[in-house]
Amino acid sequence: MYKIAICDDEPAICNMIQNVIIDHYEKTDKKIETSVFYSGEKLIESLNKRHTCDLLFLDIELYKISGLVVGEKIRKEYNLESMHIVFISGKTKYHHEVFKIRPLDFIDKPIDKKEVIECINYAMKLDGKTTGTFTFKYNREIYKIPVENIIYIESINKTLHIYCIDGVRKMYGTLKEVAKKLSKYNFVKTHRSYIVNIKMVEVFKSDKLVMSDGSSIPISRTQKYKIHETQNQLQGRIQ
Amino acid sequence: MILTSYDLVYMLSFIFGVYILYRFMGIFFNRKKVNKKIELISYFIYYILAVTISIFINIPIIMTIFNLISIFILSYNYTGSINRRLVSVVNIYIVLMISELLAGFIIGLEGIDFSAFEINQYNSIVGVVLSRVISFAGVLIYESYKNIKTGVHIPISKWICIFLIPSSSIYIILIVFSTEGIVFYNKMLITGILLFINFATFYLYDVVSENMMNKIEKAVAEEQNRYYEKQFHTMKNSIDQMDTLRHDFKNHIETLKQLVTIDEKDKAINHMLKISETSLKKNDIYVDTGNVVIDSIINFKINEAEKFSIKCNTKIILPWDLKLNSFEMTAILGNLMDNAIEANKKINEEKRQINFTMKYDRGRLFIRISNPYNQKILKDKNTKKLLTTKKDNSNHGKGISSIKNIVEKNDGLIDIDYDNNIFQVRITLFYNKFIKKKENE
Repeated sequence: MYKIAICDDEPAICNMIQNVIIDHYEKTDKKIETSVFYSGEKLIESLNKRHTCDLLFLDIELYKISGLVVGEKIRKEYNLESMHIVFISGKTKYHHEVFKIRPLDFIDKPIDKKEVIECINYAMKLDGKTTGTFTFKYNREIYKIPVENIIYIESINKTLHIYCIDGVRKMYGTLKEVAKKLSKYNFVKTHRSYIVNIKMVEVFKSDKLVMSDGSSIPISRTQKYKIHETQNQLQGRIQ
Repeated sequence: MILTSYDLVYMLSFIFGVYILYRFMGIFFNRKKVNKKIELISYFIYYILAVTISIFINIPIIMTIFNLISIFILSYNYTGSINRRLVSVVNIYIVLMISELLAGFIIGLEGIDFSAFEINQYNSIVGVVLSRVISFAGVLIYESYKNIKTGVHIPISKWICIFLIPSSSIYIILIVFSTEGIVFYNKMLITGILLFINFATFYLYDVVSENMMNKIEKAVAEEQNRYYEKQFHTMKNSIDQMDTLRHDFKNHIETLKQLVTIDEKDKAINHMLKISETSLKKNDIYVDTGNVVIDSIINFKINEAEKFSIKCNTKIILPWDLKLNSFEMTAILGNLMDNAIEANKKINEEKRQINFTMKYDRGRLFIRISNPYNQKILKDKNTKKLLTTKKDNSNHGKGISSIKNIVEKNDGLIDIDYDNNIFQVRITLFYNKFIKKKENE
């Protein structure tokens, strides 16, 4: 079940997006659940009840609480780092603060049906790669953690330190093996002692990555081209 | 054969000599993309060979030829055109050679009178050390010329002058010292004058490079002004349109009110449809990100493209307040769009199209442009430069190479591919490198 939420203070827009989704996915085997919120407050109320979604269409110019504030709350207060956010906007001028929320994309009004579908397909394509379980042993105990919680992995003296949203875990093993296992989930080896979850990158610099927890991960010269090149290919739904 | 103390000093001082050569190379070439291992090994081999030849053979003309060839081969550690290599090799060599001669004069090798073709008999420990010091001073002088490395293309006529002066100097020195009957102080004077001429030439080379760069900058700035002017008109038009719209709306609402009061539903709906068809359709502004630099370039170029009935699809997502270096952005986007327009002109009208995407995401700026093409894109195997069938061949290649220069200078990435008749350029720039530093602008 893929959960999509739509938040716009114009009911017409919400209905339109919802109809587009229903019409399009009725015929496919993909199961999609949609929920609609007519204000930022309603959405926050729902988030407080721990209702979440995989993809959110969020109006920037919401009445009272703006889409920007809602987006900031989602990332910082609720720590919903892996929720995809697509902004809906009447203008094509965006303030740089909006980009800090790491939006998946932007669609402008009047809304183009094709764009809505493209965004959903792109989000689902990315999610197919980023959700899964990572299993490892440490001190005779078996651990299972969701890969989407991992921020990065560092190798220190033959021990791998797994930095997750909720703390650090350890395991024995080589970075090479782990990198091989995680590569399909959009993890990249940036350096001989680091593997990084690309989704958790806050800022890309040419020689290092700043992660969502604030740590700075170096990129080795040999990996530089590979990392940024694949990123450029992944970027955006327009080919 | 036993090595004399002179040989030992020579070997030691030559390590410094190789270092000086390395510094020289750094003046002429960009050391950014160098394979350091190969570089080190190549200099080491040069050192071994040079020391061996000078100890066992030591005939001036052979040393000259050996050094010229070696320096030329060493220059292949770095990227650059053949013209640049030749100028650098002769320039470096003339400085090294004259330094040695000057050292000879200073320590007073009275009656120095060697032949270029016989074994050199003059071995002086002080001289050999002194010559290294002088050539190091030469490096320092050259390093103060800042425009050499910029890689600006210098016209061939100017290049010939710059190349001929040092290379003929080498010849003159060899002849002067092989000719009998020229008095010592004359030889000293000739060498001194030649050294001066070479430094002066090099100074001119620096100035020429700077001028060429200014010329290019000026051209880009003029281009930019045209974009801005056009953008200004586009914006003014759209404001005028808004004014008319506002004025019309009063009348429209009045009409609608009338129609609704007399219960003419169909007519009212018809009227509304008419309004949305005429007044609310998109106006002349194609791209409206609020980022003046981007909007003005792209709108100008879309306008150009439409003159040739090229369909432009753009998707630009970036913060309107993103601080961009307008000069570099104009050069990149202007050239990209120009190339795409040129390529489209050569294909059937119904197939003409340009897809342009620009997206800011987490510290990076992605630029992607693609267009169909129907021509042989020639890729010069040696220089990996793209050539096209455009008449002004050199000019077109420069477009791509100037984009490449800017991208590489800013530590960004560029990828050009062309299959299935689609030409595509993808560029990644980093905000911290490319944009932020220009915040004061």
